[in-house]
Amino acid sequence: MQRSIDMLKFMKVMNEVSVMRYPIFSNWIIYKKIPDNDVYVVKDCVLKKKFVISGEKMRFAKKLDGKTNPYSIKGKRSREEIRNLIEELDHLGVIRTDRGVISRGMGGYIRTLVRTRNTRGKRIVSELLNFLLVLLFVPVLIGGIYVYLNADYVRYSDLSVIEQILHRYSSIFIWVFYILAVICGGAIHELCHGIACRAYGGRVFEYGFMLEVQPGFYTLMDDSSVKSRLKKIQILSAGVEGNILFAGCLLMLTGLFPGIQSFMFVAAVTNVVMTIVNMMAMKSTDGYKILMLLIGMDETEDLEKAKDVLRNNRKRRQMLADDGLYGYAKLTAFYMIVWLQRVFPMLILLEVIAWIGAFL
Amino acid sequence: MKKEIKEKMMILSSIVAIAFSWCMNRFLLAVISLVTVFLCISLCNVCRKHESLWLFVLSGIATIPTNLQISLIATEYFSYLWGDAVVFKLAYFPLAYSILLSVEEILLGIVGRVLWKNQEPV
Repeated sequence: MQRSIDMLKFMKVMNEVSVMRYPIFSNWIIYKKIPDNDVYVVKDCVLKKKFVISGEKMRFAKKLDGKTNPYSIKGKRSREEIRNLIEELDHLGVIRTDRGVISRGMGGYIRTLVRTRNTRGKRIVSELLNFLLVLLFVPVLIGGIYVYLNADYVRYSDLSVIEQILHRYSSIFIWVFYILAVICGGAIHELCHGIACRAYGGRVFEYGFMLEVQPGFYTLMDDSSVKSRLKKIQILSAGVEGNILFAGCLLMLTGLFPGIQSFMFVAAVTNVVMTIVNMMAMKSTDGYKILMLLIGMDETEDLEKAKDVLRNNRKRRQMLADDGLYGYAKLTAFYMIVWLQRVFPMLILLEVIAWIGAFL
Repeated sequence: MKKEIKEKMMILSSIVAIAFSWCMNRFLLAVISLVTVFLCISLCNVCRKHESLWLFVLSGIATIPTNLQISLIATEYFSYLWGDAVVFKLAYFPLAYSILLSVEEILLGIVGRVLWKNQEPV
């Protein structure tokens, strides 16, 4: 009973956090008042733009917390003026009127699940968790594999009733474990990105769910204040480290419950596959971003440049004539990066085939 | 002119060494040859300030025989797991190759960045 009440409380808090009835002040906005002037310099950490806004508008925006009706805020403004002000603030990105659901066109949607604040306490906890993640992900996986291979000799818990049910409907429960592994793995992946980003002084704004070609989770964060390249790489690779850690933990559980070894194994392998796919250097994966960061290229501009150079013979010759051996190296790197992008359709094809095969 | 030829020879030598050692089925020699890639990058003037780019290119070329051999084994394993139709096999091979290449390049790239901290953007 207590648990159900706690659950209700939790759901209520989550609902308040994620669903905004009224416009809400964007939490990815940093602002600073200019002394002697009633104006604020505002920085949008997501769109990376800066602008100046009057103090009056800023004070109005700050009052919007998602629960306050903007038309009930005391002031000398008429309804029409408030409507225009909301539209203007929304256009600038200072407030959000989307109620947590944003359409991205072509049937894609993103949904805010948790909005977070960047406090000192959270940063200290994140530093600790990030340290543990870096330290433990490999030993836990190795330990998990060891326990999985020796599951019969490790401690055994009697779960005979549950095991009987699971094995009786094994074809259904394999799918249940697979889907749960994908959902938990995705959530852990994004959470670890957030933890690493906050640990190195970056800002995390929200976690959410997105519905696109492939559904998944996302973290909205700003790591522009992190200057070290290796720290940025750790932020990007924290997700796969989290997946590996999760897979290791699942394999370790096989020692505790050897009867459901096959189900845990499916869940662990799913997370390892997620890790491998994420480390492939295809556009928009973590592996691609890490690789571009390592080489010293820009992840969007340089890929377009590479494609453009490879299409145009004259540009290619010009590059070689200008840079000599360095030009050869650059051209070869362009060929390799563009070639790595070609694998993406094959991966999708295999995934579709695997899904069809699984249902047949 | 002579200096340029010398540098070209140095760059090529590391690739030839690693390819040869793998073709001769000497795994340990292949690992040692990989160290020569790092050595040649640190010695060649042309690689200076762009070490990560050269490491990406040289190791990508040098590991071709290794990756081909491992990808063939992986293709057989994938076929055993998910079906051995010809269409599948055609997809498995580049997939295995790109996984290997990506992981190798990332791991070597991290080592490269630790060794050569001051580099210019490409």
